[in-house]
Order: sequence, then structure tokens, then C-alpha cells
Amino acid sequence: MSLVAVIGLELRQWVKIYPVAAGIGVLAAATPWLPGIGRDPEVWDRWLAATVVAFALAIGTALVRGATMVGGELWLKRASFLYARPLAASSIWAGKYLGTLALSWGSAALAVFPTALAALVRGRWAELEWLPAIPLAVATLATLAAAHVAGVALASQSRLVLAELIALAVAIWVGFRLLEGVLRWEAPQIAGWTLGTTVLVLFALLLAAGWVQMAWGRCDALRGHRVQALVLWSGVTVVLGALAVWGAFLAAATPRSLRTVTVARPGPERWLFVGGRSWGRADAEAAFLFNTRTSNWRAVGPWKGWEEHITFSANGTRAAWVAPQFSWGVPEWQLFLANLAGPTPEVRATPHAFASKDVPQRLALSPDGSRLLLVEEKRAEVYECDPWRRVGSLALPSGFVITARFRDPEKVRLRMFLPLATGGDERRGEFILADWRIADQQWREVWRSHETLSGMWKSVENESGTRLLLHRREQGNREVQLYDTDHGEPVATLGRWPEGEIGRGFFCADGRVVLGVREDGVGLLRVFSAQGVPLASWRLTAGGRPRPMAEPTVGVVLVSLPQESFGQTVGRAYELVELSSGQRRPLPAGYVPQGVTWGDGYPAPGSLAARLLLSPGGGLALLDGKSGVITPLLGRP
Amino acid sequence: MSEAQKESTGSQWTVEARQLTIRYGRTVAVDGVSLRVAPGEVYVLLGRNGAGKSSLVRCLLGLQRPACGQALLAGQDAWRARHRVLQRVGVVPEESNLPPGLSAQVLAAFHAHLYPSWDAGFVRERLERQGVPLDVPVSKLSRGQRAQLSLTLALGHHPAVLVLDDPTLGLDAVARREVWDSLIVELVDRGTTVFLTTHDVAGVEGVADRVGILVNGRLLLDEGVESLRSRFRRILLPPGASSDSLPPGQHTVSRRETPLGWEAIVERYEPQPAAQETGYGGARVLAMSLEDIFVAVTTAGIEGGAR
Repeated sequence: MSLVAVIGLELRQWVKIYPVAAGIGVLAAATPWLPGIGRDPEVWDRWLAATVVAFALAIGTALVRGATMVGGELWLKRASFLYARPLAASSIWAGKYLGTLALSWGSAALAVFPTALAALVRGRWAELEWLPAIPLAVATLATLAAAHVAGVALASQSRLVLAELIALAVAIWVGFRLLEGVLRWEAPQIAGWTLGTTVLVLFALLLAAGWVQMAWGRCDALRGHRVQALVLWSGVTVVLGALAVWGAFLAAATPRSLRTVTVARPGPERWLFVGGRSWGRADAEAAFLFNTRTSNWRAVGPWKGWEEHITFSANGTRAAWVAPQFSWGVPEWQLFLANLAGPTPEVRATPHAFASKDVPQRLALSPDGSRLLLVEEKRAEVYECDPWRRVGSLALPSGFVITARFRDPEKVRLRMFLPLATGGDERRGEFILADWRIADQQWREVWRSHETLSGMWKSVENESGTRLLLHRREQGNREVQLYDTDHGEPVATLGRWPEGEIGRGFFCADGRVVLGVREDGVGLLRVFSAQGVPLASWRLTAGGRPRPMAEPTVGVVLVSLPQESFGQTVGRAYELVELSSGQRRPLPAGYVPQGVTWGDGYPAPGSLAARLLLSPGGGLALLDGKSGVITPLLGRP
Repeated sequence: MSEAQKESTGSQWTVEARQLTIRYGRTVAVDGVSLRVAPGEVYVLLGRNGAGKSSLVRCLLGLQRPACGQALLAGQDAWRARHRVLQRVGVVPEESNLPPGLSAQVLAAFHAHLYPSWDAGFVRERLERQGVPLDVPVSKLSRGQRAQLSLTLALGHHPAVLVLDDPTLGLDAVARREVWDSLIVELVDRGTTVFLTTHDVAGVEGVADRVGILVNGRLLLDEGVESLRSRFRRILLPPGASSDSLPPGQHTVSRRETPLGWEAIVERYEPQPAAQETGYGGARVLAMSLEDIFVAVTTAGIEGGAR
């Protein structure tokens, strides 16, 4: 009863705001007819005006009443009117808040009522959804609580207010920095949860500070300010502390805490770039450089990039990657380098930053790790890593699909495809291999042929770039040819298969070539010598076309075998096949070779990349190609 | 121990302060004050500006928390049990704290929601009698009308205790008289306990049962009015008489030379035989008003008279 009485008293004192709000609401509804404002688009004009007016009235009322309902009364020494009556402090607090909210929200409702009425009269119910009622309600309550606290602080005339203003500025700065530490993970769940919780807690703190002021300060402004400051600053300290701890917890993820691996790019020997979700951190993905032999590791921060943006040098001494750097509202990508020569990687950011649209399409390190190649849409650039400086730049023809890799620190092999735009199902064009001698600043064509785009992607080179396995389209079939790219001459034709019956193959460590084909409905692994002479043909499936994926150890190939049902692939099994004998060893169910192809490459024989498996639990495991033994590496086995 | 037990102190006094100390930062406004007001008693707390009267009143009403000590109202801790104990208390503040935009009618209706014993007829009749318009906002009332409205609202539920903090502050002589007269008529006969602070010492002379004098936050004197009056005398000595020739056994509070001779204020006055009183150089012994005693006490710093 007393609560209702206080609300009523509050409303009676400020009731004149209602007719004012109604009058302004009529004006807002009449916006299209005001001089200088066209009637088109009339609906938007009206709602915009009504919404602005509603916000202004609600927030303005909350601000003024919030600052004066307690602070003003303390200042004018009228606060004792309610406290000298048999009213509980909570009734006074709630009565004043509810009364002010009724004034704020009521005036906002009156301001939009004419516009809403106009919409209803014309049967346009859907327009009512345009009113941002919930943001308005929340903003009003937050403004009211903040204004209450500020009003009391001013009324107290405490010398601490100045210190509090400084502390507030510092707290906001620290808060933003801490939030930045969380938001840089660019994890929607984490960000939403953190921001939501922080805002809610601050909101609750403001309300609690206001209540404490009224319950414990009563008519003593100084004491009221002191207790509200105690609550507020204790709370702010806890919030900042919690944010700091939360941010530190997110950053404290280790490779061992990984649960699900979402990115894994192995280097040639020991080092693995691995990232994923770890325990208790929801969708925040941490990334690491992890040494698979020593288990040494180095965190490289949040990860939202792609595997294509990570590269290792062939000698395993350097890694480079491009990762997004969080900055408020402006996405910026930074190029990082890691020196892997020592026991612990030394990571450094290069001065190279990109806007999202300019992120390089390809990265490649020279075999010795001394140089880095960046391929952008129309330009390729080579940088010296130590010290960081550009040593070469090449303009690329527009419209080409290009991949590139170093043949040696001075030479880059470019693969280009020029579409002819002749139509049809496949994009036909010219497939060009070229060598760019960095010192010369120009490229020299070493190979050119008419190909289809898919044919170009299926074609592979050997590690040294001297041999090319080319899938050519011939009268509806695929003809696989082996070329000597140094001389531009064919070495051998490996065979001709109907479209779809031949997949990508690769060169083994000893120069042999393996292809997965389907002949007469049977899946075969075909083995050829370095000169293209057929050596073996191993029957692997009764239907699906096998796909050779990597050579985990010399002479043993990891093959993907499709499992078909009624002509449809329903799953895949993986087996190790010994090339000389055809002996097969299936991998345990659930293990999948992890990302064995990137761009135009394939895993180097015997490399870490050729042996890395995704475990059934989402973690990583290492395959011993000789014995077939699988060792859990990271994450859930 | 329940909350009610904590709040109840078992005190037999209607108003009580126990070693009450109030501080504002480093400033001590009230310093260890103890006083007690019996049921039905009219207690007048006197003091100069800034003596700490209003702070004491705020503590007694539970509006402010003391730094130490305890304020009790109707036997309950005023800070803890404020809103419950105020059901039986009427309060008139030093300055009008009424919401300026509301009329007497609206305020009366508001109070009716708060007090089950609210006497609407009495309130209306009293406001009309005091010439307070019902439908005019407080901001448009005269000071006197505001004071009467405050007093009426404080009396509307027939409180057992009335706390008035300098209710005549800023009022003219007529308005002051009206306030005191109405108090005498309406309260004293009803046996309402009154705790009152004022600067209008003369106005409360006929009302007060007991007086406390607060000087610089300390209660220098707390005594029944009759006892106080009988204790103090002003003695006038003619010109030429020595200021030492006062009746023996008196404690001289102050003495000063005036154009008409010597004037002395004495405490613990013992009546002398008439012959002796006039035998000391023609001295005249005069009774003192409460105001004179207040001035003498506050300037000379006399203590004493606790219950």
C-alpha cells in the first residue's frame, strides 16, 4: 500500500509531462504534413519522428528525475519528507523508481500513440513492430539508475567525487582493454556471454548502489554517497577482476587443453601449427605452434584464419601466417613470422598488415626459410625475412588463377590459368607454368597448354618442379601424361580413363607415380615408375575410385577408399597400401587423414603432414607408416 | 535474537539518546549526548545555530545513523526500526520539506494511505481553522501556512510522540504565537510526548516541562523547567556597591558593570531573609526567564542537571 502511495505521489508531482508528451506525439504523427517535409516516404518519417521523440522523452525524463529524485531532494533538504513517514527504505526506492519509470515510459507511449493509431486506422499492424520497445525500456532504466547515483554524488559535495571521475575514466579505459582481450577471440558465444554478463552486472550494480544509498544513507548525503561508492567501486573492481581473469583464462589455453582441433597445418618435420577449441572456452579458438617431438609449444593467439594462410619452409626452420588482429570495428590482418630453429619458436609480427579485402591469396616460404612470397590478386611480392625488406615484386595478369611456390630462394614457380570463356560445363583455358627469377623482376614461361580448370587443379608437380603430371581432356576422356617441365617434353602417357574415373595422383619419394582409377567398375591403385612405366595395379575396391593421399613412409601409400551403396558414396575407409606388394592395412575406424592437400601441393613423402590423422574424438594422432601404429597427439583421442 | 528483539531495548522512555555522537567527516556535530524524555513530557532542546540540534533530531527519527551511541524512539532503535516506530510519531521539520507542487488535499490523501489512524475530518477542520487552502500547491502557500500544514500533517494520525525541529523558524511573531498556541491546546492536554527544538525560547516557556541546552554538540544542561527557574537569579547592585558584596553562598555565573550598577547572575540561589537581601548595599534579586537562563548558560558554559 505504501509503495503504491509513493508511486502515486511521484506521478502527481510530474503528471504534467503526459499532456506535453501527447502534444509532441501528435506533432510527430503530423511530420509528413510539416512544412519542408515531403509525404514520401510518409510512414518512415512518422515512425522516425515518433521514435526519436519517444526516446528523447523517456531518456530525458529518466535523466532529470534520476538526478533529482534523491540527489536533488538531498540538496534541497527535502529528502526527510518520505523518510520521516512510516515508509520502508525499499518502498521509497521502489516507489521512486517505478513512479519515474511510469512517467518515462508513459510519456514515450503517449508520444508514439498518435503514430500507432494512424497505422492501426489504416490497417498497417506490422508497422507497430518498428517501435524499439525493449531497447527503450532498458536504456531508460539504465539512465535512471546512473542518474540517481550521479545525482547523489553531486549532492554530497564530497571531495571524492573528483577522484571518482578520474577513477571512472581509468575504469572505462581498463574495462575496454580487458574487453578487447576477450573480444579479440572473435568468438560470438564468448563475446555475447561476456558483454551480456558485464552489462547485466553493471546494471545490477547501479541498481544496488542506488538501493544501498537510500537504505543506508537516507537523509545523509555524504554517507549515502559513501555507501553507494563502496558498492559501485567494489562491484566495478570485481567486474574488472573477473574480466581480467576470464581474459587470462581464455589466453591460458595450451595445446594440451585442446578438445577439438579445427586447424592443423603441419610443417615438414617437427612443428605443427594447430588450433581449435579448448576446455571451458566455448567457441574461442586458440592456435599454437607445437613441436610433435619435444611437446614444446608457443601460443600464437586467437585464430580465425584459414589453413591456406599458414606456411612452413621446407627445411622446417621458419613458419609464416596471416591472422586477424582485433581492433574496434576495423578488421586488420597481420603477417607473422616464427623462427623454429631453436627449442621454442620466436614469433614476431611483421610490419605487413592488410585490410580484409587485401589478404594475400597465397603464402610460401623459400626452402631455406629466408624469403617469403605473398601472392595477392594482381601482384606477387617476395620479402627477405631477416631483416624484413621487400626484394622483389611482380605484376600479375588480371583474371588468372595463380598459385606459386619457391623452387629455390631466387626462383618462384608460378602456375597460371587463363580462362578462354568459351562456355560449357568446364572452364577451358590456357595452363601456364612459369619461373620468376626474382632478381630479374620478370617471369619466363616454361609450359603452356590448353586445359580445363579441373584438369589444371588435378595436375601436380614433383618436389623439385622438374616433372609434371598433367590431366588432359581428350574426347571426353582424361589422359594422364607425365612431362619433363625443364625441357617441355612429354615423358610418357600413363593412360586414358573416362571422365570421373581418374583422380589426382602424386609423386612418391623415389619418383614413382601413383594414381587412383576405376576400371571396369573396380577401384585400382596404379603404380608407375619415374619414367611412366606401369609397375603395379592393385585392386582396392569393388566399386569406388581410390584416392591416394600421401606417402607416410617410403613405399607405403595412404589411400582413401569410398564406401558405396546403390552407386552413392556413403562413407570412406582409409588403408595403408605397400606399393611393391599391394599389402593393405586398414586404419582403425574414425581416423581420417588430416588435410593432406593444400592448393597445388601434396604432403612431402614421410613428412609430418603425410602422417597426421584426425582422431574420432576430434583430436590429432600420428600414424607410423611402417607399423600402422597410431599415437594420440593432441585433443580428444 | 529476532529483529524485533534487536530493535526493542526495553527502555521506559519515549525518547532517549544514549551517548549519541554524530560526525560529519572530521567534524563532531553531537558529542556523546545522553537524554531521556518521559511519556507525556514536553522536552525542549535549546541551542545556538550549529549546536547540533537538527542532527540530534535526525538521529532520533532514524534519518541519520549516529557515529556511535544509540537513539531510541518509543523504546526502539530509531535507525533499525524507523519506519515501524514512525507510525506513532508526528514530525515537523526545521524547514518545510513538503513537495512544492502538491496541494494540502493531495498530501493529506497521501498520509491517509500511510497511517491507519488518520483522522481526515480533524485534518480538514484544522486546516480550515488555520486558514490553509486545500487546493493550492505548497509552493504558493505563505511560510506560516506551510508551517501549519506541516503541523497538521504531523498531527493527523494523533501521534503518541511529536518531534518538532524548530517549527517556528522564519515565522513572524503572529504566526509563531499561533503555532505555540495550537500546540498547547492540542497536545499538552492530550498527554502527547513532545520533543522540540527551537530558537524561540520565550515562546516555549509556558509549554516546556524539561529543557536541554546543547552547546557545541555537548548537552550542558538537562533539567526540569521549574527547577531551572528556581536555581538561577539575577542580582542587581546599585552604583557604588562592590561587586563582592553579594549574598554569601551564591555561585556567581557572571557579573558585569552597567550604568545602573553591577549585575550578577547566580546559580544555586539560596533565598535570604529580606533584611539581609536588601542589606547588601541595596541589592535587588530578580527571577530569570528561560531565555535569560539560556543566554547565561550558553555564554558561561554552565553544566549540570542530568536526570
